[in-house]
Amino acid sequence: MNALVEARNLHKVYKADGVETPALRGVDLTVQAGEFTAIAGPSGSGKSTLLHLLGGLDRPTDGEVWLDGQRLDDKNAVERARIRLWKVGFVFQAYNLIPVLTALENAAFVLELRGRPPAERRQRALAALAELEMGGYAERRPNQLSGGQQQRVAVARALAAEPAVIFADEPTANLDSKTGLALIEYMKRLNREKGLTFVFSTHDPRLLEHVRRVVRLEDGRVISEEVAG
Amino acid sequence: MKGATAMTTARLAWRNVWRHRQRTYLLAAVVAYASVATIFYWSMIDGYKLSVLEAHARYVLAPVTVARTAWFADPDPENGMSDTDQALAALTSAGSPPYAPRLRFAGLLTSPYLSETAFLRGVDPVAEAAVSRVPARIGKGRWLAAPGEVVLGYKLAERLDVRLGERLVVSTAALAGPRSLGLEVVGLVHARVSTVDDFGVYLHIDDARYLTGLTGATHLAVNAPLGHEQTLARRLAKELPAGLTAKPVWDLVGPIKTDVEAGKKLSLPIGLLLALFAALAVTSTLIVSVLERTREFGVILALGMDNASLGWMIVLEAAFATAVGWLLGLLLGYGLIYYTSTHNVLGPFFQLSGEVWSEAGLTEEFYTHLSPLYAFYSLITVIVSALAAFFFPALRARRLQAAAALRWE
Amino acid sequence: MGLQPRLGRVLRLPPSGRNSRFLGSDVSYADLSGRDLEDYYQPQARDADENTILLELTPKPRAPTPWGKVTLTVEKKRVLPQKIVYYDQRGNPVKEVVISGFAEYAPGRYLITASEVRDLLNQGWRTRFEVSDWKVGPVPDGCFSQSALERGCRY
Ligand SMILES: Nc1ncnc2c1ncn2[C@@H]1O[C@H](COP(=O)(O)OP(=O)(O)OP(=O)(O)O)[C@@H](O)[C@H]1O
Ligand SMILES: [Mg+2]
Repeated sequence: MNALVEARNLHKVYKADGVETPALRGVDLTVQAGEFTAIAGPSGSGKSTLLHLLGGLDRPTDGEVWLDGQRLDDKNAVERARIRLWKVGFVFQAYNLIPVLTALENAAFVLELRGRPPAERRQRALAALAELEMGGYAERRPNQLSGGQQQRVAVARALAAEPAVIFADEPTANLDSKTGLALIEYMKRLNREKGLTFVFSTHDPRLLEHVRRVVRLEDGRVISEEVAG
Repeated sequence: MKGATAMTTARLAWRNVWRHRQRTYLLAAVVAYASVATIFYWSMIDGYKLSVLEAHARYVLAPVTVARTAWFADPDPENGMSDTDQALAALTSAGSPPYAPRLRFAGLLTSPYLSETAFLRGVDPVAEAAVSRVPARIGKGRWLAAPGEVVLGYKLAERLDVRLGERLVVSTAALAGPRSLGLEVVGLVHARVSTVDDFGVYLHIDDARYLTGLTGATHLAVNAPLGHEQTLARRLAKELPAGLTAKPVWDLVGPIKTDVEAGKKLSLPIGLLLALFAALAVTSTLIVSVLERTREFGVILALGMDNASLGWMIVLEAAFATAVGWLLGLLLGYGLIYYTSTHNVLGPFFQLSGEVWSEAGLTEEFYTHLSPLYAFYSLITVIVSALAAFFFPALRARRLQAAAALRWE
Repeated sequence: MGLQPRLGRVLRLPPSGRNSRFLGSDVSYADLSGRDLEDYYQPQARDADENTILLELTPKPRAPTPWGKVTLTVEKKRVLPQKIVYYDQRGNPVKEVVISGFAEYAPGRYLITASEVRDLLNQGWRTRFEVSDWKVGPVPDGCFSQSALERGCRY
């Protein structure tokens, strides 16, 4: 069976002001559907870069990215945008939400981009918010929510869109450890109960105790891969 | 599978317009200001020209003047018409517009205290009302009724220190040699047109005939609706025999015409400058707001909107706010020029500019003009500035990379 | 007669039009010519005292004179004017002419040799008019040319 996400010999070199910064130096990675994978590594190890490439936000300097049987790295920006819209969910470290929209509107945003009818958007977004126990906050604006609540709305937005995979780049970095752990538990439950595939990055070792599969990055290379029993 | 449709993009933009209230208000205010400025500016330019024209057509001269060609070159009773039959025949064949015979001559006014030279106008008291507003603008006393009477501009009367019921000596020397008459002042004109109030002298045409020795009139003042003077003058000129001509008011105002037309030419670059400032204001407002929202745009791109749709969304947002501003500007602008076209609020301002103004034939009153054209001018201003202003955000949205935008601080 | 700058043309004026202040002085043509008085006014005479008659002149209708009334004080014996007062139409005196010198150039015919015009509206404004030398006889036309009037004229 084919992997849901596959990276082959990924290289990424950033060029800024004539300086070349190698961020990834040959990363191979596969993620099966239904897996819950953590990418761990110190700051600057290339975690964000890897997730951006896997999600089609950016293109690698070298190597291949495959998502749900489609090759991503040779697609242009418009095609990658379309694949992101229909296949990929994203949760970022902070400022995930559109400040002028309510929690409900944020949760429904991807569906809105897909052109779904309002009733369906509302129903699916409300259900997703409820899954993350955010149903009571549907009409709040992001600035009326705590950091943890905001991240839960971001996860709900991904959930409502039912993507093939959700990439979460340090979703807990701006949260205290208890709230961060709670967010990971929500994600794990969705993975368990709905079979959602998650790939999330973190540099917090305490979170990794609760994750079965951990891929460790250092200096743009995979240095270890462990799957707990 | 299809990306965000045009409808979706438009809907998102529309929602953002109302959600980003302050930004929308700011942009709308800038655009409204530019629209109001444009509308008001052109309304004033046209108002000025029309005020000059109106003052000359209805008070100082006449909409159309029929006289001997020689009289136009040297407006002396010697060049007048000893009878007006030929001119009247031409009027009849040109549709019988209302007219009044006039006998204009230079003379001397003498009061017990002072003498002053003036151009006097002998008029038919009844016919004059059909072509001139002066008979309706008597501030004190009444309009002429019979020979032996004289009506003066109120400022002239003040200078001469003559009052209603007093005798004023009018003297001249023309075809009949030196002659003079003592006329009773029966009315004072308060026309608010400086040439009339400062220098206007009106007497019965029979007295003027006696004083000058001219049996007919120097010219015929012919009525025409404002803006149709030229057409009527041309039609009349065709009917008139050789030696007689008809001239529209605009051909007789002399240097004022060149002044006004030069002013109008100058107003074009000023109007463009206005549009440029508006563009600058709109552009800077948009640039700041687009830079501020870089992270938001990064998220939207990450969620799957393509750059082109994002660009359109930003442009549409700006366009909506601009449209709101323009409509607001139309409302305010037309409200303003409606008010200033019916109330003399600008007159006192312009009076400060003094002599030049009153030499143009007007002083105390100034009304702006109303024309649907100004909506068009302001629309052009808004579109030009919008095109310039939208260019940057649209370009930025096209070039924005999701990954880079997300790292934006 | 004179060029009127504001009108841009020469204005030839009848006698009554000459009431304007002449060359900025208080002398006007009308003050010096008796013809206006006879043409335009209705006279009414009464004794002022034993030596003088007061002649009150009221303008005829439409008479080209700005005055409301003109009074003449006339010496009974020689029938010579002593004082002329011009009133405006509100009854106020505007100016007066006081005649103080006469020369008898033929029996019973007199020439004014000294007079003074007083502006009664402007205290102290006056113009004296004196004839220092005179001759009887016809005057050559040349004496009325512009240059002769300026330089003087011998004959
Ligand atoms: N746009 C860029 N231009 C130049 N260099 C970049 C750019 N983005 C990232 N880098 C560099 O690439 C390397 C990897 O960065 P990346 O953000 O992927 O690391 P990370 O593991 O996500 O770090 P952190 O835990 O701090 O988020 C770093 O050395 C960084 O400086
Ligand atoms: Mg990172």
